[in-house]
Amino acid sequence: MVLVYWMLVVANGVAFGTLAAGWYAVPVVGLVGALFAPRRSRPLLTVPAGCLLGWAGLLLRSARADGFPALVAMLGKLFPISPPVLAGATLGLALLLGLGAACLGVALRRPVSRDS
Amino acid sequence: MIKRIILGGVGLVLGLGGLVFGSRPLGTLPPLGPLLDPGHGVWALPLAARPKASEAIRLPIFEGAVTAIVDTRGVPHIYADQELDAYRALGYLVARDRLFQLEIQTRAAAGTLTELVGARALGVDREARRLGFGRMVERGLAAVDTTSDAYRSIQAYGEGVNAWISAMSDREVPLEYRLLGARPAPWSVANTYLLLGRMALTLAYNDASIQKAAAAAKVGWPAAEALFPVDAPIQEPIQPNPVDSTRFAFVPIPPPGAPDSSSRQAVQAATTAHLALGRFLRWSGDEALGSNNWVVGPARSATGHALLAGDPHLELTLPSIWYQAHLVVPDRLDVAGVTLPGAPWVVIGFNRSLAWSFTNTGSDANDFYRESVDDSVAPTRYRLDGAWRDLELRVETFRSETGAVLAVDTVRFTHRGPIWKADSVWMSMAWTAYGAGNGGSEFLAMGRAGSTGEFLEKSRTYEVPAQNMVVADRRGTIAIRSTGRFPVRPGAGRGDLIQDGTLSANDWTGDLPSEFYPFSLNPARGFLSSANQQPVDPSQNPRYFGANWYSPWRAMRINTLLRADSQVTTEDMRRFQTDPGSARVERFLPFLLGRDSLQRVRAPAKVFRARALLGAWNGRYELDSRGAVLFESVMRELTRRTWDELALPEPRQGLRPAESVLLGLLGDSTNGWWDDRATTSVVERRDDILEASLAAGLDSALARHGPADSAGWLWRNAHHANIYHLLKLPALSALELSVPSGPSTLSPSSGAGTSGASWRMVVELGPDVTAWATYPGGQSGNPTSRHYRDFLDGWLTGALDSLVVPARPEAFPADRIESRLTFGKGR
Repeated sequence: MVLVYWMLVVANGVAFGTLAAGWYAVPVVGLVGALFAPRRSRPLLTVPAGCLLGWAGLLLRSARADGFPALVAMLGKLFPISPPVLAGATLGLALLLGLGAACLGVALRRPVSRDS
Repeated sequence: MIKRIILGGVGLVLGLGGLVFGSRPLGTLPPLGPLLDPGHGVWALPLAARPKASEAIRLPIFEGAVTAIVDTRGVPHIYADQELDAYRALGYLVARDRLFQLEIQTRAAAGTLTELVGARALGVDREARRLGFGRMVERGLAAVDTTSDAYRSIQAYGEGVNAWISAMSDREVPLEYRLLGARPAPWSVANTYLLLGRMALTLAYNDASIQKAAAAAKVGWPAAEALFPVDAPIQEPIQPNPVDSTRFAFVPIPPPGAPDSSSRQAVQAATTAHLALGRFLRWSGDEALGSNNWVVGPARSATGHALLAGDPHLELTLPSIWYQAHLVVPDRLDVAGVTLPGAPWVVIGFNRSLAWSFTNTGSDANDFYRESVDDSVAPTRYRLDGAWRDLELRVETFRSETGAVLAVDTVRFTHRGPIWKADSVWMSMAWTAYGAGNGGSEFLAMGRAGSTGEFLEKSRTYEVPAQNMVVADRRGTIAIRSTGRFPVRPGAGRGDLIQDGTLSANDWTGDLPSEFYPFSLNPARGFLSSANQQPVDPSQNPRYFGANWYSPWRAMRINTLLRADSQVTTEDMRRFQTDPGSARVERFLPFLLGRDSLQRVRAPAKVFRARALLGAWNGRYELDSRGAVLFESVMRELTRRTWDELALPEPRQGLRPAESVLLGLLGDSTNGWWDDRATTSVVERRDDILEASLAAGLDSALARHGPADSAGWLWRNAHHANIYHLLKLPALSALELSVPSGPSTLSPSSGAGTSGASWRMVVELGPDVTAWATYPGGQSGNPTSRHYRDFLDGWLTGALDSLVVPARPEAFPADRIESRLTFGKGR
């Protein structure tokens, strides 16, 4: 349960952070998410997944807009890669940034005794 | 501990790697981080395009309240208590819809494109600086009356543009900036003047002297004078002549003579300048840059109301050159139509009393002068009346996106204008646009005019580019006038010859007074029209307005349609605007078919086949026409074979006399021009060339489009309109559009299909003014917006949208409202 909870917290943080500050919010929120992850939340898993989910949510938000089919058609001609690949690259970037931040955050966390 | 260090290292590598990867351009792609950011990058574009049902905007620039209703076509209707607020709101909304266009078109005029797109634009920028746009604007601004309504409207508009630039979120930054990795620059008043200057130069450049001198250098002056005549060989003037019919004034064309070597050097110099300007101004090399307009008086309209139609033909782009708007200020202004993004006034449109439209007069607006300078490499002085005069030198620095200096040029000016060097000759150019008062006050006044008389009076001071203005009002008055700056030349008064620059006696002596402008008011025939033809029959007004005029095919067609219809309706007007008939085809086809020429029994079989195919064609450029493909192919051959003595290495700017001259030549079957210089043992005549053109045209059409009964010969597949995005990105362009248009049809389309009807409007001046219009594209510059190209399908079929223009916001039909914005003072 805590895994899902923390993933959603990170996802929301990434989504709002991205809207407020841009793509740099992903590693920042990811790092904070990993540093302050609750016990048994497995930040190496939940933080990257949360980052991915946060951006996927934003992508879905765009996909609901009227102009999305036009966007997809345009991107297909504009870039040398197909729109699904571009969407995959978008999520991959979030995952990469989230994973890096999670690793760093976990490494920087104060060791917690098993008894506490 | 080691695990933690390894984990930290992995984290650093992945995190920093991701940041570096996302921050740096990847090949031709811009940095992926900001580009793919789903909150602000390309994925967010559809969100930026989504209209809000209502929005309250508080900005310190506003003095009073403004309501702007954006209708379901994306057109803003701005209701303001104060006029300047209306322009502020318009600037804000234009910037919201067209910000990138605003910047790129003014940078193109200023010669600062390199600062946006880098060194690849250096060539274009250099030409712009050499033309002296910046100098022109600096001088104009130094002399401008900053208390005038026009200046204050420009200022207010700019405040609106800048307010949007400051207020917009990252998500709303146009796609083009993201692709270029750039940010919008602040708007300045000078940008509006640059835009006006650019428009003036695009339309007011019409130098007849280059082609004529170049022709003289090849075939001698007598032939050159006849091939590029001052007076059009077919007279269908906009100021109706007394006989009210087409007057054919063909003159004998002397055969090719000895080259005039004396003019060759000057021609080379001027041609260099001409070609450079051509690259800068992006001429299409065809006659699809032009326009139509006409007005019908109450006596000839079915409803008894005056009717007006206008369709300017310009380069077609996405987004369009036009931005539609409706501005209402109680007791001051209630005007609708199209504005140029970057300027606050309705250029073509209507108000509650009248409607107006323009076509380009195409008068001779610039002259070349051969100059004598003190140093053939880096001159500082030029010779005038036996004394040396200092050249004005301007050092122009070109910078990259990062501010690095790419190049430094010294640009020189005589008192006439810029001076160029080609080979060892220096050539200066005088242009009506230099020193013209392009302040926009006339556009402001036109929108406020209450009658045709007032319109004509207020537009009298309009200068550049000279325009054929038609106007019609609710009282049933119709009028047309070629209005603009027509320079008066010394001596014989002609501007179609390269002048000696060492004598001030060759300078322009002034401008033609407006009472001599081509003009007509309420003519007996009940209609008036223009389509870029020679504006006045020289038998009525022999003053020099220009030379080498467009062939009058569209004018002839318009007048044919209007003469045949004594009960004209608005639906007729709409239909005429995309009429696929052609006066050009009507005149040339009889020669090709052998009706007006000799049909020889022993002609090659291909000639018979070509004639059979052309004979089965109805002469109209309909989508399913087949003959049009062959006709155009044969006409290309006929032109090439006839004017082979004029061939130039530069095909786009090759010497090509007007087709009306060719038509005149067809009446002279033994003229020396018919002889093919490649066949020294035979002297060809007209019918030989016609047959050769038919056979070669058929071969060419078959090779290019396949068998004559194949789909490739259908006009819809053979010719297309192509509307490119401003950055020429195919993904953002509308390409290969089938159009029922051809060269010389009323909605012309030729060559690469990149020019055509940029706006179509029909207005009925009844008790209530009603209007219909469209343009190819849409109001928004955001490619994911439904308003990016929502007018395009209608434009392709010739349909017009009914325009809704309520005088009060409360009267706006609810089903036509897309969003409502209120502007007010605040922070």
